[in-house]
Amino acid sequence: MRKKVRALRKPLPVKEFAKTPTAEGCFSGHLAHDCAGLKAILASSADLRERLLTTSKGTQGAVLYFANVVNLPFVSESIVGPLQRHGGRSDMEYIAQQIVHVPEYSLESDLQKVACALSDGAVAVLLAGETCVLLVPLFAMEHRPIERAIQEDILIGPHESFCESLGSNIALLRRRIATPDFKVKELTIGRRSRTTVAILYLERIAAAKLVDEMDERLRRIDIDFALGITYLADFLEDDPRSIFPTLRSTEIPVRVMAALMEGRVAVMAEGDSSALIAPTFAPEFLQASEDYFDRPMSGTFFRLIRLVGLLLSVFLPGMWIALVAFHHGIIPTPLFDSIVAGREGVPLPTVLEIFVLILAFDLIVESSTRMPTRIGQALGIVGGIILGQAAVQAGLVSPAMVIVAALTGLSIFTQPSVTFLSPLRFLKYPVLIAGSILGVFGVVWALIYILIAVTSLRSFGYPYMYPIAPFNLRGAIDVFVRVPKFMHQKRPSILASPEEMRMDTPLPRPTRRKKP
Amino acid sequence: MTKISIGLSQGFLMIVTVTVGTVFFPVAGVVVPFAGASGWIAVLLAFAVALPWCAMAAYLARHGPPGNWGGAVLSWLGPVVGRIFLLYFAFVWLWLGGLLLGQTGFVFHDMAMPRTPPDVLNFALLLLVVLVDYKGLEVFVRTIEALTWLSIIGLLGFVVGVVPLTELDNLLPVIDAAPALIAHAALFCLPWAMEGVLFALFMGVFLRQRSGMGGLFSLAVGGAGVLLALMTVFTLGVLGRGVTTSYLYPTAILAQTSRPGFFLEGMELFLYPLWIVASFVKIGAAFTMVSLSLAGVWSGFRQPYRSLLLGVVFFIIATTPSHIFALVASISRVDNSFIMSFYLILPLLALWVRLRRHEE
Repeated sequence: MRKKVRALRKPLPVKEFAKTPTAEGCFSGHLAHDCAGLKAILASSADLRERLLTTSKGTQGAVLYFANVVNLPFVSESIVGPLQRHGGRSDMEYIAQQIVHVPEYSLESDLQKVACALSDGAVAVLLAGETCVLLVPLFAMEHRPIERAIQEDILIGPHESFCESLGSNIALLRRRIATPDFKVKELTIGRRSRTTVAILYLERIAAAKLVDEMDERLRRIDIDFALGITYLADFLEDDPRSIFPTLRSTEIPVRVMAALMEGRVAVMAEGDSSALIAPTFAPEFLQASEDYFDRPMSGTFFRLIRLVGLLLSVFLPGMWIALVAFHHGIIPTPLFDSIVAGREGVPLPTVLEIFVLILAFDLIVESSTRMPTRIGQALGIVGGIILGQAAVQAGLVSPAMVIVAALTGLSIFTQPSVTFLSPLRFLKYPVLIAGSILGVFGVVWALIYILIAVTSLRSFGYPYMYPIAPFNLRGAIDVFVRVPKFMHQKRPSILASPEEMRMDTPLPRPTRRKKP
Repeated sequence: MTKISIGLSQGFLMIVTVTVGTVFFPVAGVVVPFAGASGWIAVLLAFAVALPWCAMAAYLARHGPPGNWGGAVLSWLGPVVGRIFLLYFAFVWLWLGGLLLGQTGFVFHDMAMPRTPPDVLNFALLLLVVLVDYKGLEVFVRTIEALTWLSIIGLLGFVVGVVPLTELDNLLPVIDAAPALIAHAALFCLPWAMEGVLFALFMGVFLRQRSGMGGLFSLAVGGAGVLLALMTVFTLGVLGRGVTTSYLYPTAILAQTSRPGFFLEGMELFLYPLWIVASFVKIGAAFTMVSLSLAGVWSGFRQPYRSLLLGVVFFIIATTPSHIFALVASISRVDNSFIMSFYLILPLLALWVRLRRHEE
């Protein structure tokens, strides 16, 4: 019997390891053997570290981890130190509960799972004679601190934005939503990247079917790697081929918080500083988070400015061509004369003239976007002012056309959401082509086409054009007018939140003082 | 795809938009030659006469399987007569829709784009109509809803520009013609009211709420009548009786001659989009009704073949009239014969359904 035990504990050469039951997934209890098994799986990883130790009772052990991803002082103080001083029982359950000072742990006997956990930033503790391994998640990598939002900088209200650490992002939200109803569902996506994705929602406020739908859509994703949640948007959207985003991407915690409070669901991933909000409705892209921190009248004014900006950015070039080339009878005579005088000597046809100008504007924007800030500013000045001025002086374009192109370009950037800029930047070209072929008929044709495209979209099953189509008066008013907050008594009815009322505050009135 | 269901407010908006449709262009030119300054009374009279038919349409829509037009008709009339009714309904709207498509091109060509052939404009609009039919009724409803709000802005702009130019003298005396002549003018408006009733019947099948349909249909068709009467008032008030009676589409002249101020030479900038949107809505409604009627006759007639084939037929019908006068005459023929026939068919149909239900 003793011989048999000794035979079992005899270290096996690594070559033979593959033929043993251990290679099929279990730990044998033989320290060298088990360490070799793990190293065999993680063979090519130069950053794998192994710290051998001996307890005061003489039991041999090993601590394995990847360098640079775990909190090393913590490993030393809370795991290695206590283990070395330990002189009592050596079963893993006891050690996990009584000896090491760790906030959370798990016991695992599957070799592959331990290897995966090590890749995730866990520390594995192996002890001779133990067939299970103590896993302590100690992922501690440096990440970008919480800073101002880069994509959606805001003037009024909290300036914090998400960073690339999922834990910090959830903490940012949890600090603001101090209710046990705030739930976080975590799952792992990506066969190789094993990216942690979190579904965030408020229980009793978000409709259960919406949460389930998000969960199901995420679980359906089976890919090699997930670079972030915006990377996964294609898998989550109802119609990823459409140019319109049906999920709103944001890096501002207050926007996510507001969405959760309305009964929506947000989803975030490790390594991505954005959150996706579902469902998203197209008219909401006109709303900025500052609106709700500013006075109602100012908020309304800026919303209307954005609406005008949206219309100009898509339809101005097309409409201009339609009026100048087809229906100049509508334009007042003095204005038309001025346009004609400005075009004197311009060799390009009107259509080509405006096409070249708006294309040049898009080129400047695209080139300056990727540049460092100072170079980007210089590019903007060179492109926008010098090129425009030079083109007019050279007689290549007319001054009126430069104004139209500049106004179109500026209007696009009135939109508060970066995700909504791409469709707007693209749409002006088809509208321009339609207007240059069929005049106003073409522009209206394009408008109807865009409306058909937009109204046929759904965001997580909800109509994308809500509250315009299907029409909802309360919601539609909120699209154009920033009503005072005490009028937001109910959550959006389409979301079918189990708790429809969101406040019980009466209208503000001055307190009546009793006469003495 | 979720089940199609339309709310009452959506239904109301749809019926008003489709009933007004392209009619706001010729309405004054049709009634004023007979009723003079009382033209608007003739319009109101015609739409008031159609109100009982709204109640009949609501009764029928209530007593069919919801969300299935073909199934509803077959449940009212049985498989054989039901299919005959669906074919007749499809035939009428096919012809009318095709002619309205032709009208769109002709009118826009005359008004704004004399160098572009009307067929090119018709083809462009038809592409949208085919697309929206292919996308389904729900998308059509939402598109119309969104377009209606945009149209209201255009319509308001148009009205604001026109109201200051209206001369009260052109609208007096209120009773400008003999009652028989006013009734005669109203007779020409009856087909438009019936078009609204037929669309309400079709739309009613898809309404989410089954109660209150009669009131909704009456309110929508009546509201469309009021809008058309207002258009008559404005056209007559600005242009006067002489000019209004000389044109087939006096609203176009109204837009061209109105000079609201410094920014615009005329009101065409509001009118052109309104005309295209109104045409799209009316032709789209006709196309959808034909498409779903044919689907009810033969369920194997699936998309996209149905939309494409109907598109070709619509285009052929649109190109048939060689001149605007021939086209207007054709539209009048369809209106005065086939559309008017529903004033007889609908009561009989409602009576038949009532008797069958009574027997059951």
